[in-house]
Amino acid sequence: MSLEAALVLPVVALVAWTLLQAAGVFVDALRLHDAARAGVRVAVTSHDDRDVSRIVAAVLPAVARDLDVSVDPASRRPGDLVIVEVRLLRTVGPLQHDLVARSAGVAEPILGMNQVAARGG
Amino acid sequence: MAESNDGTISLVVVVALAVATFMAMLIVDIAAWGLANAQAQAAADAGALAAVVQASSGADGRSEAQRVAQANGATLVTCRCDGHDGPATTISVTVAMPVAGFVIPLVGFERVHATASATMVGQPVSLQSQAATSQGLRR
Repeated sequence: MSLEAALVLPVVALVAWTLLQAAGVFVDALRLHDAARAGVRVAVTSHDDRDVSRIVAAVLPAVARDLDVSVDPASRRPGDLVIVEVRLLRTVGPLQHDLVARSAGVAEPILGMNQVAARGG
Repeated sequence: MAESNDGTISLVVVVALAVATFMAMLIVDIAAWGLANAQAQAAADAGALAAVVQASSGADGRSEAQRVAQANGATLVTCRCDGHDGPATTISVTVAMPVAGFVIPLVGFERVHATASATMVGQPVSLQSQAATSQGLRR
């Protein structure tokens, strides 16, 4: 093997490894975004944050135990701006990266209707 | 007399490394563009939904679409918020989302656009009226 090849091969391998890791991070970021989006659709129609956590976990079943889901505000009324934030700590080689996805929506007039209907029924 | 090659590297290797680095940056950019596209669509969807609820009750749908778009990291570009057709209200919202990248912003793709429409027939049911309905049914 020539000296050039010996010098270049590790660099090429490093570039390839970095690309693969970056692709993995972006795939996770997209899935996390999908989960946050699904979560906010539930949050704008439900008072119960556990419903939000359940739907987020359903979108990302493989890492459901590592997810941190927060809903702001915890107590919401129709017309409030609701923000769902989903966090996932991802390990890339020796590094740890905190992936965050946020999605916002407006609490709908039917907010809590399912709970009211359940109580009424 | 033979020439010494100590400390030299061929032009081909230098060019190949430069091309590989450029391709890596481009791939990262394409991924970032895809993520921005998904975020823009989510912002447009949420903005249209929020705006149609407001507009169907006679309020300003545009400001609501703007508020939701900003909360999702996007900018409201257009809002066709006057689509009243009898009991139906239709809103069409277009938002722009900035793209973070190395190469793509340099060639003019600084932001992605997404459009969403929402239609509501009649007026939104309020929580209070639903509660009254539930109590009425229980009696």
